[in-house]
Amino acid sequence: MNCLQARELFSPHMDDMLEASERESLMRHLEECRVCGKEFKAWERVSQSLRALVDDCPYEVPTSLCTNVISELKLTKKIRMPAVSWRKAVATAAAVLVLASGPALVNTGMKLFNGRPAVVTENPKDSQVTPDNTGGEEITNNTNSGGPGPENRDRITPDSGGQSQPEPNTAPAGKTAITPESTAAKVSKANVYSVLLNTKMEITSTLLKVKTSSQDPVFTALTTAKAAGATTQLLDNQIMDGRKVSIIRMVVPENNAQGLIGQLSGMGHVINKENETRDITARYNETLLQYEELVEKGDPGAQSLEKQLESWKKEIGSHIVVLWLEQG
Amino acid sequence: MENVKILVKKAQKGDLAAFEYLVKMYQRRVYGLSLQMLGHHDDAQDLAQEVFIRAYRSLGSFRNEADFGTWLHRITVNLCLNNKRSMGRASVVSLDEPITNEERSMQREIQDHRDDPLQSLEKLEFRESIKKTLNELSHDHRAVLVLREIHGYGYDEIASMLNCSLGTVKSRLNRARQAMVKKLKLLDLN
Repeated sequence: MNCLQARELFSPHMDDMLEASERESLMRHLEECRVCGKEFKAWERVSQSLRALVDDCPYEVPTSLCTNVISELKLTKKIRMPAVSWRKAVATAAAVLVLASGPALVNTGMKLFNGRPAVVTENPKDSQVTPDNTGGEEITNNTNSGGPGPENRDRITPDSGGQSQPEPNTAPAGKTAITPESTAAKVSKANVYSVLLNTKMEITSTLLKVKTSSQDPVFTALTTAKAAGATTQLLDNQIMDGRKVSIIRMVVPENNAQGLIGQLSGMGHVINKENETRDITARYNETLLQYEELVEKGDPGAQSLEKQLESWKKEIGSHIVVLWLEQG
Repeated sequence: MENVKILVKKAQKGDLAAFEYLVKMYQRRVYGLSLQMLGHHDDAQDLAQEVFIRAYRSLGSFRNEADFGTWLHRITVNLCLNNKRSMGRASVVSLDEPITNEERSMQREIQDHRDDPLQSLEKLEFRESIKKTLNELSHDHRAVLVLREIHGYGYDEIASMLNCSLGTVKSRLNRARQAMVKKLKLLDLN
C-alpha cells in the first residue's frame, strides 16, 4: 500500500467502514510510514474533538424560541381550535370528578355464569372469558339491562367533591390573536398531554366472590369500603336461583386495597378470588383521539367517550374491587 | 415514541397545542444543530424557529412511521444550505467570558483541573479552534461533518437528508476532514 492509497482510507476508517483486510493493510502502512502515521493521528484528534462537541456544547435554548414559533403560526394561519366541550373536558381531567350517576360504568360489562367465576371486563366488546366458562347469564351494566337503572342504584359514598374548572373563554380563532386560555385549561390540557407523554396506564382489579350468611351484607360491605376510603357503586341486586346476589364495585386507593379485600373476605366463605392488571395505555390514547374526532364533528357519541376517559383517569393508581355477595 | 406519533397526528389535524408540545420536546435538538451549522446564536435561533414553522406547514407530508427528530434535522440542514446563510461568522469565545449554562461553564471547567491548568487551557484552546475551523468550512463540508461526527447519522441517512448519493457523502466527508486538518495545521495546533 502506498501513501496515497493509505490516505484514501483515513476517512472511512474514522467511520469504521473499512473491511478487515483494508484496516490491517492501513495499520501496517502506518507502522512503516512515519509521515502517514503522524497525519493519521491528526485526523483522529480532529475526529475525536468533533465528536466530543456533542457533550461539550454549552448552549441554552432561547426561552422565546417556542413562543415565537407558536405566535407566528397563530398569526399567519387560521388555527382550528379544539371545540368548546373538549376544552371543558380537559379542564376537568385534572380535578377529582364527581360522578353524578353511574355512567362511568356504562362500558363495564360483567359476565356471570352459573356457579362459574365471573370476569370483569372494561368493555362488553372486549370480554375476557376464563377457559372453563361455557356460557350462562350475562348481565351488563347498561341502561337497557333488566336490573335497576342508574338512577335507582344505591350509592353510599358519592365521590368526594371535585368541581369542573370554569370554562375558559373559547372564542373561535380568527385572523386576530386567539383569546388566551385560562390557566386552569392550560394546566388541564397539559395534564392530558402529560398522560400521553409520561404515563403507562394500568388498572388493577380484584374480583371477590363471597358467600355470606350475614343479615345485611351489602350495608356491611359498603361501610367497610367507605372506611377504607373507597368509592362504591351497587351494580346489581337480584335473586338468582333462590339466592340473593349483590354486586358492588369499589374503587379504593391502592395502599388500602389489600386490607379492604381481607376484610371483605372475612364476611363469609370466599368462593372465588381473581386478580388482574390491565395495561390500557394504548386504548386510552386511541379513545382520546376518537373522542377528539367526535367532538370536532359535533357527534353526541363523544359524551360516552368523555365519561370513559374520566373514569379511566380516576381509576389509574387505584384498585378496583368487584364484590359478589351471595346470601342464602 | 408512540406518544410522539399521537401528538404528530393531532398536530396534522391542526391542533396547535399538540405541536407546541412537539416544539418543546425537540427544540434543543433543532437549536443545537442550527448552532453547529451556523455558529452564531442569533442566526441559530432564527433558523430553528423557521425549521419549526416549516415543519408545521409540511406536516401533511410527514409519514408518521419515520423518526420525527430526524425529519426535523433534515429540514434544518436543507433550510440552512438552501438559504446560504453566512457560515463564516465564528463564535469567538474568550476564555475569560463565562458561557452561562446551568451545568457547566468554561471558567468552572478550568477550575476543575486545578492540578494542571496548562493542560486544561490547551484542551480548551484546541476545542475552540475546532469550533472556529468548523465554522470556516464550506456549507457542504460543514453539513456532512456536523451530521456525521456530532450527531452520529449514518452515511445513508446523511445522503437522504442532503438528497445526494452515498458516494457524494463519502467524498465530502473525506474532503471536509482534510480541510479541517489542513486549517488546524496552519494554526500550528495539530
